[in-house]
Amino acid sequence: MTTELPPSEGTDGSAKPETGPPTPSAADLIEGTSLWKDAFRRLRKNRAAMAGAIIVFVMGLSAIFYQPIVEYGTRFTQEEQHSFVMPKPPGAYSVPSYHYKLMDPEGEWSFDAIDQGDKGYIEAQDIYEAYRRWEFNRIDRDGNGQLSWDEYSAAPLSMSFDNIPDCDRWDEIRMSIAPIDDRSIFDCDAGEDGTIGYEDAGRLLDIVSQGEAQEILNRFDDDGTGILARHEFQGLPEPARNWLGTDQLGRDLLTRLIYGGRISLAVGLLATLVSFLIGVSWGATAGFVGGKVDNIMMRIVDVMYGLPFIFLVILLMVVFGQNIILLFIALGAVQWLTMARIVRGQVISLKSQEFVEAAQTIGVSKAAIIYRHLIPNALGPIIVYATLTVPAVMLEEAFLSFLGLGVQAPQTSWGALASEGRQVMEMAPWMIIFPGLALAVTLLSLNFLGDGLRDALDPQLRKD
Amino acid sequence: MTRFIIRRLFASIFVILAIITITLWITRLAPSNPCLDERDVNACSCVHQHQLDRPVFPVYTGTPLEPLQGCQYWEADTEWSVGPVNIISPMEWGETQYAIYMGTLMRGSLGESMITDRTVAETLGAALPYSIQLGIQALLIALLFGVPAGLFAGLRQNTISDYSVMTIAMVGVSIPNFVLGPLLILLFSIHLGWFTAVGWYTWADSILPSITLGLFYVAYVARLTRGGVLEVIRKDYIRTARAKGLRERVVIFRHAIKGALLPVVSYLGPAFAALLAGSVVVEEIFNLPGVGTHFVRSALNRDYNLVLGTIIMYSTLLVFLNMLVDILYTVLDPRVSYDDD
Repeated sequence: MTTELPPSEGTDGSAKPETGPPTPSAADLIEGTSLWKDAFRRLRKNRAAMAGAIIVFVMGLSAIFYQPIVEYGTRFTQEEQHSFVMPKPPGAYSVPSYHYKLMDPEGEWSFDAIDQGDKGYIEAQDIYEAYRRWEFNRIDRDGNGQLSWDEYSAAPLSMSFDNIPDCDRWDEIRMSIAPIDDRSIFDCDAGEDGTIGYEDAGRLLDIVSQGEAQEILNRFDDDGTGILARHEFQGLPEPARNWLGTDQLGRDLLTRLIYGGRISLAVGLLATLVSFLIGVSWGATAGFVGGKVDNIMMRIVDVMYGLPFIFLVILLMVVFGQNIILLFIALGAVQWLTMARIVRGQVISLKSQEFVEAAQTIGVSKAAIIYRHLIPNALGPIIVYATLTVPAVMLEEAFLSFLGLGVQAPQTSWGALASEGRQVMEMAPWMIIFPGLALAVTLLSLNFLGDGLRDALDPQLRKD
Repeated sequence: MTRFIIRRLFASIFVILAIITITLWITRLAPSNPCLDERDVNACSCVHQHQLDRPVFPVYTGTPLEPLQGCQYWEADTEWSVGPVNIISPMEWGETQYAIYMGTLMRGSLGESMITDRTVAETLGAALPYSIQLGIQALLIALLFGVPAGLFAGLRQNTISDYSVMTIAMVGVSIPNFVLGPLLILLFSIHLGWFTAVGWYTWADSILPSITLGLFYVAYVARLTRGGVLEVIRKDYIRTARAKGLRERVVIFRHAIKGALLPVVSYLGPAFAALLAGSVVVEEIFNLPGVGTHFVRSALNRDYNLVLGTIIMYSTLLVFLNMLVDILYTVLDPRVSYDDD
């Protein structure tokens, strides 16, 4: 991470000879620095590459631990919908359907406070009102029971609209979720004091719809009476924040981003694996066998290099339905050409080197030469290229998903999310900005990491 | 050189033939067909008109098309073997869809669209100008901005300006065009109102799509140019040029730039392919009536002939452009010759 290796966080083993005490132990002296340790030391010095590695690592962790993150973090699942006709902006609240915490049944969340009119039971309307009051209190920061323009515009529930409603339409407006973008609307309230009271706020305060309130009630209504009696009441689910907003169906964007990252990263890794397998075996065969076979195999690669492969992939995806396994294979199958060239070049140049000849002279078996000498030495460029293939494949997957030909609902990927976001980007720019950002940051990190690996593993190739 | 070109042309013909065969096979494997939307009577005539009732290849399994009620379908008079694998006798190989399509191609036609009443050539002819203009403008943007940026960074290696140019280039490589495009629309069309958001009526409408398509290549070309500069600048002939007292400007622009641009030239081939693919998304985002839009739509509609026509056109174009790039390479780098091997 730092330009010079601080002794305190040195690379345990490899850094010792340089920074160790004046009398290094014999073992350290004999060991020396291997190719890989040396490369790792160089990589650690490259700040951009290490930052990229950390970001990729974090993305990978969030993909692996999707389940616990959803359960204890975002509290929404990627498929759960909340009846809302407009996307909610980042920071708005919704009531989770599955992984919720219950509010302590005290104060305004106690049975008696929710039960309006002392009926002795709670009905859906009461739950609806309880959440509305909660939302009102949240927006009403100074707690004076009135919403001022500042309070209203600071709360993440409004979206800008060009059509400014006039006072005559206010009654209409407040029955819909259409947000308001004009201070004058605050002069239309009953008190004409430039604020909105709880009664005037209309559907601005809906964080659950009437239908959702009914669903929440049904969740706790064990005896199926359609009302919540006192003994059934344990508290209502706590609203959770949609940190990155929602889409039109009220699905939490952050949860979907993490879920989409899972798919995007998986496609990136698996398709790279496919291209790795094809490329390495093709290139190694050509390099080892040499002669006519090599000539023909590489001519095939040359010719395939200039073909409109992505169109064949598009065709395959259209024709065979959007099967995710096919996606891995198709994307991997179009990425192996460069890999084959690199592997062949490595194998040919290594085959004739002195250390291989030396190994042959002292009677090392062919298999041992391949495994002990050729593969470890060829591995560097292969790893570097594989690292750079991952972002390329992820980009292609996103490209296909964007066209609607990749990952299909209910699954989603960053490309699919960006595609959904594009259709409502005027109303809800966050729906395209966050998936785009996630994709760009990951690709950037992988590119930096790949460049850093190349510089570390092959100092001669280094261009700076 | 001539030998190389002839050999290359010869190989290209085989490649394009293989592409046609594979594409034709994939389209026919697809569930559904272009006549599915037609009603009863029309479906029969649609199938007959496009000869979809024939086997695709001389060897096939099952029936070429699920027979519709009351339609008279083509049947082979003689078959070598009938059963799970049918083989038509060679006398009737000319009756297969593959042979019929190849015959159409031989007559210099790309056939008719199976959905609309225009021919494939007409459809592509109307769409191609958009795609070509888009591709050329994007490539121009890439070269006009990428090469100077790369030269600038490479000649100031390891300075702040080098690092900033290269970081910007890396960011540029990492932003997908389908994210960039909508964001540009959002900023320049919707908020600032400088351009129309969708459609292509005047030249100004082509600016945003070209930038969207070209920005990735600006960044990529900048990276390649910088790498080329760094490699060339240490070569002996540059040292010689400097030693004999040439001005720095002459050293760079007369001697270094040729070698520095080699990586860019060799990238042009793959870049053409990628530009074609990228134009599919850009045309979709900006709602342009280009070839990419037609390709995706025809694949979804199962307009077999239009799919095949697009792929044939793109493959030919790419093979040709790649050959051009290889020839250009020998012009720029006298050490490269294709006639040795």
